[in-house]
Amino acid sequence: MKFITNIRDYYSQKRKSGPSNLLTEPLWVRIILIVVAICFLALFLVLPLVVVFNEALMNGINAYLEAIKEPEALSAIKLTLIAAAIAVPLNLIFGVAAAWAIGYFNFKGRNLLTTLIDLPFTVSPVVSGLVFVLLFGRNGWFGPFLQEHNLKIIFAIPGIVIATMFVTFPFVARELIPLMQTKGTEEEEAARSLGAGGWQIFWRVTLPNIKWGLLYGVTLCTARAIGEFGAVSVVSGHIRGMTNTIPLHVEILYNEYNVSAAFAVASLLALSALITLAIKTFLERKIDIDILDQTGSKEEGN
Amino acid sequence: MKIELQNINKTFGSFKALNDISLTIESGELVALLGPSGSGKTTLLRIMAGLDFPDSGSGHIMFDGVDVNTQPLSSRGVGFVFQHYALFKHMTVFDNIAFGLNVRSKEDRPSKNDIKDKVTELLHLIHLEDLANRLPHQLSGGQRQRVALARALAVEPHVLLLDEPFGALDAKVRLELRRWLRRLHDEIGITSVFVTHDQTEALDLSSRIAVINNGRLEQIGTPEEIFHKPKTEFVLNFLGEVNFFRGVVGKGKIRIGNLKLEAPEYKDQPEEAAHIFIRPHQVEIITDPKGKNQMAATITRMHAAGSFVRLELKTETDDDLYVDLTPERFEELNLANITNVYVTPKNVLVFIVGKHII
Amino acid sequence: MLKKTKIKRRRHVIPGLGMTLGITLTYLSLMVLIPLAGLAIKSSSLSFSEFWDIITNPRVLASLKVSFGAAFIAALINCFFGFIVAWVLVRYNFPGRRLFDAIVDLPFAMPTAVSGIALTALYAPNGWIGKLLGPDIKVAYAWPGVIIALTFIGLPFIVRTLQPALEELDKASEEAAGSLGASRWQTFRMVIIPELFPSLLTGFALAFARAIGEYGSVIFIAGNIPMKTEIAPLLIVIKLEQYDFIGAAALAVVMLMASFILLFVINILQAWARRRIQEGSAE
Repeated sequence: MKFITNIRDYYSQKRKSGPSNLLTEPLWVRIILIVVAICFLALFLVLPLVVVFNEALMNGINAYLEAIKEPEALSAIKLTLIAAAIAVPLNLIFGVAAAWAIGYFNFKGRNLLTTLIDLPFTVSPVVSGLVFVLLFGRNGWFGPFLQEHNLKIIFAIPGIVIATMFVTFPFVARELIPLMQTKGTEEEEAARSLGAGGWQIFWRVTLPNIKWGLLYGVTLCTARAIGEFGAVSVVSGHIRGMTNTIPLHVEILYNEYNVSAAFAVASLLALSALITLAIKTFLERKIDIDILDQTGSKEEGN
Repeated sequence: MKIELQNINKTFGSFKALNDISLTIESGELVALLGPSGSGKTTLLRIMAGLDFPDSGSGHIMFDGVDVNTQPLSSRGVGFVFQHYALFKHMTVFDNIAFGLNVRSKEDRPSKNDIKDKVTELLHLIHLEDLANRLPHQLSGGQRQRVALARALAVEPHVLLLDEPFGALDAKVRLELRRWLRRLHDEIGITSVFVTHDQTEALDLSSRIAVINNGRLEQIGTPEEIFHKPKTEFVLNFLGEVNFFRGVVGKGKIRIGNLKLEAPEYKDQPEEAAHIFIRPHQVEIITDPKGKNQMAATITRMHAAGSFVRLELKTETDDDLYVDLTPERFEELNLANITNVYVTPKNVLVFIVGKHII
Repeated sequence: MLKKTKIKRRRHVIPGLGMTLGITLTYLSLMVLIPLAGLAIKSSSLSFSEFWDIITNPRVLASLKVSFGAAFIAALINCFFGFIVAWVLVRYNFPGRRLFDAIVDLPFAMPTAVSGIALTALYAPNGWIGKLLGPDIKVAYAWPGVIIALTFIGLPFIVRTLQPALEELDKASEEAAGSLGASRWQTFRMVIIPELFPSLLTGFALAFARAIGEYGSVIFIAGNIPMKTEIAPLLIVIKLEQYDFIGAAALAVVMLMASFILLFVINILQAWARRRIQEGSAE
């Protein structure tokens, strides 16, 4: 064969030799990349976090506690928790229902539906707030009706709750849909064949399988509900002690040049963000293990 | 090119993947590395290729007498065919095959036309001229495998290494490709080593077989030697079905229960416990007892298994015994209505306990 | 749609499609579709020329330029550093790797207002970094501040899109390239980058989409100088505070359309990236 005869000519001139292990980079490249990555993360993520706590404690622990115990701060905390307590359960129910329908069934428009559920993620928070002002505000569609019945949504608590619901709308659903799609319906079908009803299947078969993913979605949903700023800012009217959530309270304090109080309250939010990250990391590991178990058992079956 | 491996050791953490393996592969040979999964055969192949390295300080890898241990894989002149082909998904068949030529430094790189000629020649060789512009995911498994082979051959290696080359293919394609690969090897005569866990593949394709188990080389030899003169119980067991008996060997005799076989090669040895193996097709069955060299047995089950008839027996020593008979012999013996028979092994393999067994 | 699915339900072993789909569609319509339709209808009370006048107003155009331009630059910065971060987190082992991996999601978890004031405190002339940069380089209250905030917000999108793609990358194709004589850099350029490209583009689009609408983390650091560092979402708020509902709605429609287009593009990109990954592991 022609192409074999000239091997020796070719290989006698030895090629430039590459690194001794071709599957990773030379040590100096690896070290540079790691240093660059760490510096970038430290500069962009760690430093802002550190600065929050630093500024918060600048005037001592007493001033810090003072800022948090202030009645307006407490009422902001209360309102934030109320909004989250309403938005999260509703979005949870919706998320499970949507994931059941989309994850377990094949119907026309399923992909469109999935995309529509993601919509609130891509809409600017300010626009999200605006749409509710246009609906329920004084000059909005329902404005006259609401005024007639002496109901207030915009610049009142209901508006804050609705805006929070909107921006946190997709979290649980988008976590559960892919999870349930990959899981498949074999176990549910088995339960059905053994005579279980719909609710029994859900509580006894589906829920135990998706519980970590569900908690994951709820965690993210809660974090966003507590921290949402833009949308809530547009609908709240910033009435101190009345329609202020924690992030809005931070803004007001900051704009009044009460910086250390602003950071003191902000540190509560930063703390909740850290807790969120910890829970998230924990749940991700649990979900990974579950997925490994499932794919593992499927491979055995083949 | 001749490949010599001397005292190769490889440890992953605390797991000893390869244990002091020495092996010589002559120029132009087609050698199979045969063993169960996890035996270390793929690791050995990867070490030959330069994709893995032996434990530092252990062993030598020589290509035509030159130690290549410190040479990176790109300069070893090795063509490697991966188990799942590892084709570049975003490149056409043509670009995949041309890759090894395109990445050469400017001085060494053939002209565009030469590359085109070369790739066309290889496409012809693998019978895929018409699919040059397809992407890998548009090909069948067998076609991908051939592209992977052409890609490895494009750089004109002196050694071709194949990791489970037919593992991911269905049975029919596997058989076709096996024949094609053997013809290809006969044509181009390149020194080739392939890894497999399928003994029929190894027996069918290779000029020699190296059987590997638990990181050790159990035996290397021609397919005949490996099949008929296995050196260890593992090799014997791994290459086809076998019946196992406990017995005694020595003083010129092999004893299994009451059965006594002449064994002049053990004449000068005292009697010792031994493991005795009999292949299913090497058992004679008779219906009347004659002489002493027989063992009584009861037929528990029989069924036609393709080109032979399989009998399942219980011997007088209460061991299970499988026997394969040709359909003619089965007819001749008229076994359909008989349950009690007598068996004589035509050929036995003996391993004295504690001596040959590792 | 409902009618069709009802027919299908009978063929399904698993119950509950009707109920769950009913809840889904009702809630989706009430919470998302009707409110967004309201916005579209509101702005449709404008004639096209009125609409055009509003959005071609110099201040509006300038704000859109700031939002889109800064988002684009921030996403580019993130592509570069996000790639390095993802690569290092997936490929190398170093002390603190898990911690850094977890902290990548901080911009997701941290309320945007907090990020905003923290970044401002850092980059303000008297802040830790602001002091280092000296009085000549202005970051906070200038356009670099906008880019810093949007980079912060966008980082997790790129890293979290690239990470799984990097993990799924077939090691054997890198080994194949190496065994065919490619140097590590050639392998990176010719094998790794092309295979990761769809994921990189997806990450870019996600980060970009998030950044154009971002509000909370930007307004504190931007200085909000009209025509210079005023972002489009802030201009919507300003118009609203001036009771210019129509003007706010018109600008919001522009933002919304950009979001829809991006959402569409992202869906296509994700399908492309997924196909890449699945083809690889199909065997």
